[in-house]
Amino acid sequence: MSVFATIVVSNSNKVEAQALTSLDMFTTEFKKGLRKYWVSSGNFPQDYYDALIDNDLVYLSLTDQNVKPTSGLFDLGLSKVITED
Amino acid sequence: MYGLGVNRLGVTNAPSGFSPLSLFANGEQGVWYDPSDLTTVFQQDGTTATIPWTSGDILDANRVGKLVDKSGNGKDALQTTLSKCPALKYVGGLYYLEFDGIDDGLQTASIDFSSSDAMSVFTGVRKEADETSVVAEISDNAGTNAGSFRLGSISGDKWRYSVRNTSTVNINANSYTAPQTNVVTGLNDFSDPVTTIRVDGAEIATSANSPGTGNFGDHALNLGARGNGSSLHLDGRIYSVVVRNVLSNANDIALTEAYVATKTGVTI
Repeated sequence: MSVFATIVVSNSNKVEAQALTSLDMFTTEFKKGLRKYWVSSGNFPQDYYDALIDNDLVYLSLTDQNVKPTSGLFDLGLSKVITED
Repeated sequence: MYGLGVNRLGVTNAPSGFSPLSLFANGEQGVWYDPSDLTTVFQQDGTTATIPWTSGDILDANRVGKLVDKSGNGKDALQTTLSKCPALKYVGGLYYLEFDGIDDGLQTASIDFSSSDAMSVFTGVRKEADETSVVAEISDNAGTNAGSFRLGSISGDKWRYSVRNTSTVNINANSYTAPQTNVVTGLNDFSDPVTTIRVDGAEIATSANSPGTGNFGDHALNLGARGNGSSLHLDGRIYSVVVRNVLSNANDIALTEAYVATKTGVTI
């Protein structure tokens, strides 16, 4: 079982979110103003999703599959940080 | 002039009987990925067949954790983190991998490309955003690692093919504003030197600048993002990928681009 979501955690919650899920998750940086956030998007194993919710680590979550994740984040003022060569 | 002697082909279909497998008949190193061959597409567990998404919500069953290499070289592209698995979609008669532009990406084990200083990279791809991204890249950073390449997009309206040995040569195809679906080909030979980018069967730009001599390296191949989904995420689709560790001749370029075009729904 899994849950489709785009989950955003604050920079201060990144380490704990990774500890509850995987070091391979929440590795993509977004920013909103000066604040830094970390995002994972896709199908989350149910236990990962529940752990993030239960521990109150989620800054925001998008679950509507009719909205493209990058568009949903952009609409909320979050922009992807792209580090070029 | 270092053009490779192939221009627009005026064809919409690969000649019957052509298979990219023939490109590896002499033991060429490389890969061939074909998401339309459902016997080669598996879920995160690596053993359960992925079911192409056609409508409704994207489920685990639509996710791709293993894409089998059809070249015979055994370099399957993998993703073991569920949320980073792209989706296999079937829309309008075409199969493709959809990368979300956030964290999706596939990666192979290391591939020993060190027997040659040349490369041919054929892709059928769509970008949804004009931003820097990876379609295909060997090593975790082709901007710093010797013997590597990156084919992808950059900010603005550009496709880019980059190669590096002791220095980097970047060559761009301009005026391809997202959303954009193309057959994008990168070709190079370090010692010639020549680096070329082609779009939809036509040579767009070529350079004789030298990235330094030497062969390609022993690196992992990344699809849809840099470093196993760590950065430079493609917001878009991959329909077809063929990578050969040789500089393809004009006939092979024509045949392969025509084949990729049919998989991508592009007329060239």
